[in-house]
Amino acid sequence: MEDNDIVDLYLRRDEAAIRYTAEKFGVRLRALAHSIVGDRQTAEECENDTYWEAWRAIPPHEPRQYLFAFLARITRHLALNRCRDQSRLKRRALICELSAELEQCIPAPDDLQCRMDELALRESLNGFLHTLSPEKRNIFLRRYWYLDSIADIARRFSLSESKVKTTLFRCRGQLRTYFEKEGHIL
Amino acid sequence: MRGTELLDKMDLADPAYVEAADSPPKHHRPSWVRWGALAACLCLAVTGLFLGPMGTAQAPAPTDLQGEGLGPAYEDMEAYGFRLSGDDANWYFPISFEERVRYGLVPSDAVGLTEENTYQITRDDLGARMGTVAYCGDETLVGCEVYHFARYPDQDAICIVDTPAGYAFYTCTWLSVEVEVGGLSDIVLSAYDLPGSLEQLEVLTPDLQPLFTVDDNAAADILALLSGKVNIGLEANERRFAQAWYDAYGDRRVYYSEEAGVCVYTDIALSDTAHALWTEGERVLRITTAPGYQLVIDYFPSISTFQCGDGYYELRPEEVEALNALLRIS
Repeated sequence: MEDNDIVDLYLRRDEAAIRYTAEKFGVRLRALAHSIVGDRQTAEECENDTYWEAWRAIPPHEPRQYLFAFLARITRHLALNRCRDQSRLKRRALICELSAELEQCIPAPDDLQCRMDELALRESLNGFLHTLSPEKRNIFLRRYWYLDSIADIARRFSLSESKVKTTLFRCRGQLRTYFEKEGHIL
Repeated sequence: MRGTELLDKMDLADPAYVEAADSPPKHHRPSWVRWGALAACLCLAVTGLFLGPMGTAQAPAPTDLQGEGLGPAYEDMEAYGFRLSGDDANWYFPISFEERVRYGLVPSDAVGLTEENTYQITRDDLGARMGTVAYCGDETLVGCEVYHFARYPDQDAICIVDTPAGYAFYTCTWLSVEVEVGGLSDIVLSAYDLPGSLEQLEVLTPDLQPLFTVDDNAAADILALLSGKVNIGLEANERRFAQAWYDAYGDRRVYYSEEAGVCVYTDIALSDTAHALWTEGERVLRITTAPGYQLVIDYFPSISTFQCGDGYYELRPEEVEALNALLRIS
């Protein structure tokens, strides 16, 4: 079934929407959750919760063009929240590690509320992503959107781990420079 | 903005880029992979979801979905860890309530942390200096002095940080140990200085309910069985779960998906049956060492492996039999 048709089912409040969503995207969503939370049971819970959140979010949202990305964003959010649970110290360390890497992209990190509004940050981030080659962009997003390990990224793209690390290092530097040139204060 | 917030804000990336990044690279794509086949496999998923066999579908996690963003509401929950000077691997985190109980900082029957039962740290509680905060997401902590807790002078797992806001307890419950696929479990055991620094070995249920504590002799035997084992990696471990299903039911309704990198069901209603099969006899071993670290091992007799950190280690049949006897698994 096409994404458009699935979204129509949501808009009609037809519960078959969830069935078709699970059929089409279930495995990918569970894999995403698993890569973040690190265990199967919790990943399944995140997947199931994603369907219910989608049910609540459509309408008003109508993600006709990018339904998977819409669902994956929910799954990512749920999985990150699970990782921040006090009992998941090991996964919290993963978040700390990724946060530390991304902090290198921020010209002047501080504890204040984000100074750039979300719209400007969205434009800036996507402007930066647009400057990257498709391969670099995919590597960057696999690391910081899908939270893949370096080893997994290396396997996925048939690259050495050192090549992945180097690419990410340069991307972080480029993002920092991009933010600075744009005059953004994050 | 901090790195952790930027990590969250990465979800503002254009959905087209996000989807492109999830497309299998062309040179890796197996020719037989067809999402249509997966669709057919999962055709009964919804029935299962609405019947709620997982017990989660009926109780979605509270999430703010108003407006355009997903509205993360966990900023207040965020607690930054730190790394101690001279130690690039391990993280200390703010002490949890359970850890306060463990260290006797709140009454054992306390049901929560209140102003009245919060332990007030004084200068007298400061033991020997451990170092300084070398890295922390909260930069105000960087450079702060870190001390042993005088009540537990030999324990490295709990410390007191002299923060700008006052003294605060931090703990490092587990050690960060990486073992490559093909590496030995001895790397983990030696990082925890086991068996030399063994204090206690507890056997728990999969949901961490204590069953019993083993005596010293049995603990030594258990550690001997766990040593020298090879990390077979996640994929091989997942394939064992799939094989266990095949051996029990003779079909591939539960199988290893190369696309997902984990076992998947053709029908999510099989989840309970599969988990019952896989977790039969499962035990969690919680090993506490003299410095206060805790090594947690998840043992799956159903597939003759144990998970420890990010590693998955294989046991021989006679070792499974011996371990089952020591762990009182019938």
